[in-house]
Amino acid sequence: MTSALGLLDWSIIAIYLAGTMATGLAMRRYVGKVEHFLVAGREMDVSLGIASLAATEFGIVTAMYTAELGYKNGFAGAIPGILLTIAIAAVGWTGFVIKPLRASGALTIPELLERRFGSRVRLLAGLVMVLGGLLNMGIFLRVGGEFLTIVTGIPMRYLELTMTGLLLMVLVYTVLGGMLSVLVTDYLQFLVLGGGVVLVTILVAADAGWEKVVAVVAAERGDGAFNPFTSPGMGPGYVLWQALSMLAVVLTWQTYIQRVLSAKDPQTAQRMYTRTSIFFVGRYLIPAYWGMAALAMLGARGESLSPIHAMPAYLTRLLPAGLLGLVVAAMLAAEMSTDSSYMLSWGSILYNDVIRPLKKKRPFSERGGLLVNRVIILGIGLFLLAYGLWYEIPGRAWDYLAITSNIYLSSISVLLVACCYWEGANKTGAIAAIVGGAVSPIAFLLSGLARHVEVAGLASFGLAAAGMLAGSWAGRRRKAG
Amino acid sequence: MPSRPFWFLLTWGCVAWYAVVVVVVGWRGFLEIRRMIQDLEASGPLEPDSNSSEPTAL
Repeated sequence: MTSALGLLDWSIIAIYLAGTMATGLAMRRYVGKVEHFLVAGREMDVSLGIASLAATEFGIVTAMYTAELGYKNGFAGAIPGILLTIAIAAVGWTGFVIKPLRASGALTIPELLERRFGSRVRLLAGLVMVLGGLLNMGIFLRVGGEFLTIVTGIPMRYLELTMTGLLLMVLVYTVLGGMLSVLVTDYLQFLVLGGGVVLVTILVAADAGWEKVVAVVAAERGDGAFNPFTSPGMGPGYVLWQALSMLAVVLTWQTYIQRVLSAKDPQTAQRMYTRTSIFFVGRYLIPAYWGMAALAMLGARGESLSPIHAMPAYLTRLLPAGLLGLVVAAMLAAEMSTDSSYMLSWGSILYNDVIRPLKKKRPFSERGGLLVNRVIILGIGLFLLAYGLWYEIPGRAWDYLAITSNIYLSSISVLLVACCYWEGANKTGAIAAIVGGAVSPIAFLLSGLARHVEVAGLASFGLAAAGMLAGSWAGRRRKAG
Repeated sequence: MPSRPFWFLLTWGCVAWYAVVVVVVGWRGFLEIRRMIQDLEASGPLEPDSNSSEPTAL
């Protein structure tokens, strides 16, 4: 197989990459303190926040798993996006949790939790957040590399090389410029990505149309293609789990929260949430439509492909020379903004809530802290490379992402709500919630099961809430006794 | 009206939203980045060692 890219395509990609790298590196000179590196000196305003959050939350991995959901579940595959939009709009409108969180001035969620529940809870919360976050992003590079090799026609044997190249580019500007570089490159990537998404959708619609796509998914997937309650692998329990997870994502997912904490003030954070909310339906629905178009247009050839590979295979067939370069640049933009933000997000927790508290007696200097942060991000990059090469996803990619995120989403969301609004919560309850929330997702992952993921997810939320209630009650009794 | 009008309107509403937001956020974001850089330049060089974040409001 030879490369599907021509000279024009490669030129477009090279110009995009050179522009991104130059911009990212230019921000390095403004990084003087750890606060600049982790939360951009809290200088972020609404539009930059929208661009950054949207770019971060739309990576190649997003396009791949949402297209897979569309391919397998039709329009019902977009249900997580609809639920996420409702959740983020409601939280942005009311300021629920994010308002007191931003007003607290904490750098991370565990830092806020320490003020209420003590240093052990901060450490434990930091550990489960890093564990869940790193396992979650462990498949990003591999899935991104698979997309790029399929779309560009680069032989699969170069997958590892593609992944490494992608990672190195992201590492250079993230390690040097931190959140400042991430914000500015996210902005550029949002423009390229947004334009690419609109362009691809118009081309897909021109090729596959609407009626044909609807007819094929109805014939192949039945009523479940339009109704998540009857869709294969979904159902009422799945929808309930997704609703809880999406609320927890909005309240605690570190890439969202890092932008809440980088905002100039709580009102800016709220406006960023409400104004980004519609984006999240599109984030699921638009690539799902591409996946459904792949199902409609590839026919028998599509059946021989893994569902997650159908969409990139279809785009390769669809896009002419020149446009292919633009789309690859857009997807590179998507991947780079996601990888850089995620590495910085989990790195910030590891530094701020696991390593720094252990050095209380001899704290890091600003320069020392910056160096440690940079080393952590390099380490995360190496982990991504190794994990991506080794791990095989057992079921739908989205289910893997959702259940790994549940390792901490369920417990930390319960802790945050309790921290902000329940005076009866205490340290014992917090520890019980963290342990309870992590047990079932970890057991599910270790068992290698690919079915009934919603049971593990719902159990995670149930055990976290029960742990908080029972633990706080037991803690109060012990104190009274 | 196309079949499945709810999904049709939602899909193309999202595409329209993306198209508009790219232009609007593109312009406003540019202005905000310029202001952010001016603020950072005005805040001066590397500050002395400090590991504390802002005081809590809780």
